[in-house]
Amino acid sequence: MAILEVKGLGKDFGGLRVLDDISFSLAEGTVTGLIGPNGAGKSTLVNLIAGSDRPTRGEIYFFSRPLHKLPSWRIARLGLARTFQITRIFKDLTLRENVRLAAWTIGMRGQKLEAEVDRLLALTELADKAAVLSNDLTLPDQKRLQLARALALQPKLLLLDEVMAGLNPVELDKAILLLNRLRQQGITMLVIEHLMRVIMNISDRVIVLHQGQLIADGQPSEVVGLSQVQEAYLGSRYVKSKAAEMEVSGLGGMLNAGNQES
Amino acid sequence: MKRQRNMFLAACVLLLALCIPPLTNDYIVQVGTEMAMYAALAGGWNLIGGLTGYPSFGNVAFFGLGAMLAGALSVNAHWPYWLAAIASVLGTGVFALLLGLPLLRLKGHYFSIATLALAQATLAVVTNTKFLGGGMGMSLPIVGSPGIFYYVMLSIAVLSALITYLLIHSEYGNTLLAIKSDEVAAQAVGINTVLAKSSAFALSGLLGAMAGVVYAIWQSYIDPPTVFEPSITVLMLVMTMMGGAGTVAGPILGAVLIGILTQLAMAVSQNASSLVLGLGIIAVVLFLPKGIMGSRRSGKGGKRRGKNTFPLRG
Ligand SMILES: Nc1ncnc2c1ncn2[C@@H]1O[C@H](COP(=O)(O)OP(=O)(O)O)[C@@H](O)[C@H]1O
Ligand SMILES: [Mg+2]
Repeated sequence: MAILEVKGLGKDFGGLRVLDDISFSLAEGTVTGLIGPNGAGKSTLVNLIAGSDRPTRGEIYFFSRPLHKLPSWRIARLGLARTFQITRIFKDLTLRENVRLAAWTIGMRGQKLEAEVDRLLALTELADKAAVLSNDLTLPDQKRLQLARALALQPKLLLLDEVMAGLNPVELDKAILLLNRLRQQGITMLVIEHLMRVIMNISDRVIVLHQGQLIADGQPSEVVGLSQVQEAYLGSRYVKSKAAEMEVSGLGGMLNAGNQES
Repeated sequence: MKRQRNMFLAACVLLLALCIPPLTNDYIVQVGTEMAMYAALAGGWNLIGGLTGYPSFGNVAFFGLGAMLAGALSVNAHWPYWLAAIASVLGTGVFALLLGLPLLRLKGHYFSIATLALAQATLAVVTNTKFLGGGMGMSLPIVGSPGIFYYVMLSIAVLSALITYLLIHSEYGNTLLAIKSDEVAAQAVGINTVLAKSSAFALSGLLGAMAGVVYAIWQSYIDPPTVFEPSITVLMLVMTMMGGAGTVAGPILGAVLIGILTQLAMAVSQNASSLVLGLGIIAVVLFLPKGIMGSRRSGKGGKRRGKNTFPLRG
């Protein structure tokens, strides 16, 4: 069953068309990587789905329920949580209070609330900094705070906008492990990430956004081989010369494979 | 430990305040009543301006409406004053709640200017409403004694501080602080920000109206220009900022300090009092951007955020 369905979604900022006719759906329990060059419109797409911004055109359904007219706090309470690429934390609150507030808004109280906050802080390896004013946390810790805070909403769908940017290789491995654990818990995820290593590791499926349009959709290994994806990332001249090489070595068939719906 | 120390300090201050009428003269009691009134008003302002981060420039509207409504219900509708006072406070609270809904959609300067306009508009409506005196002053029956009014005002100031304390130590208070930090993120964690902000504004209005209804019967003569005087809002703001926005003790400290300074200045010359206020504002802005009490957590240690070594990508 589709947990999320996006139909003909579009967004203009003034005269600038940032997203155009985006349609896709996410199957429950899957992890989908969302890639695309800077300025492609990935963060804007997350903002539209989570209700932080309103679409100019199109519709969004979460468990068949229309989202595009709901305020974002209602969407969050339905079990759709997100993190922000440019961190947004409650700087006047401690780390623990940041996470607890999210669990509190969905109705957790008392002992159960505290236990859940403890669990999330342990899960994100933030327990030793619980009492630190969140404004004083390092950027990677603020990113983990955002993840813990999103998880406190007990999400069914999690939108992660570059949560792993700025992590060192060791932290990155831990983060990948954590996301895989969340997947095992059955949380559906849409993950924006630039590092292909991460995307290849965690995604069941990858969709590619380029200049506001979806240009590819498929298995991770397929999508990275697609010429239009390589073009979007590396420029067309590089791809043409690469394709010529591949033609020679008989690998050309990989290109343009599959653009199927899932 | 810190909590116990604060409780002890608060108890001492309250005890001292309770001793003022029997131990001093009418002049001191009158000054004290005014300080308590401003402590209550600044405490109310703090809820929306300090905790929630919406600096209102129109809170005098609640004080003025509270006073005029209570006066009118008592003088023109012949209600007993206690009933008029309760009705006026509740009515003003509803007024604040309803006006908060549209006004709190605005942010920053826009909100401040809109609230400034709200106070002026409320004054204009009150001035043109016959039931509310039609712009004329209203004389209320002379009752009570200076000591009584001092204690009543003090109770409202204590209530104001108590509400702030309970809010700060509740998840609802954290909701307001979250809105102040980042409203988009607050909504993203499921906070109904419209409701939270409007209820904070309404609480602010309730406290303003309480001070207003007591002021009316204390002065026994009120007229719209006096109770809607814009400088009353400015005082609430300056006292809160000077003492420490978002703190429990800040508004009280600010009210007492400005009160004492004003009295000292008046002893020198009548005109000097506004000079003191002006200098106070400049001093706060220059030397105490976070107020005497500092921001809520500034005293707490914790790791400083290092240099931002992780540039964010587009
Ligand atoms: N609030 C906004 N106002 C105007 N333009 C915007 C706004 N937000 C994003 N954009 C523009 O939309 C485009 C897509 O941005 P974004 O969604 O952040 O891309 P990505 O996350 O893929 O890097 C960019 O050209 C950006 O400048
Ligand atoms: Mg982005």
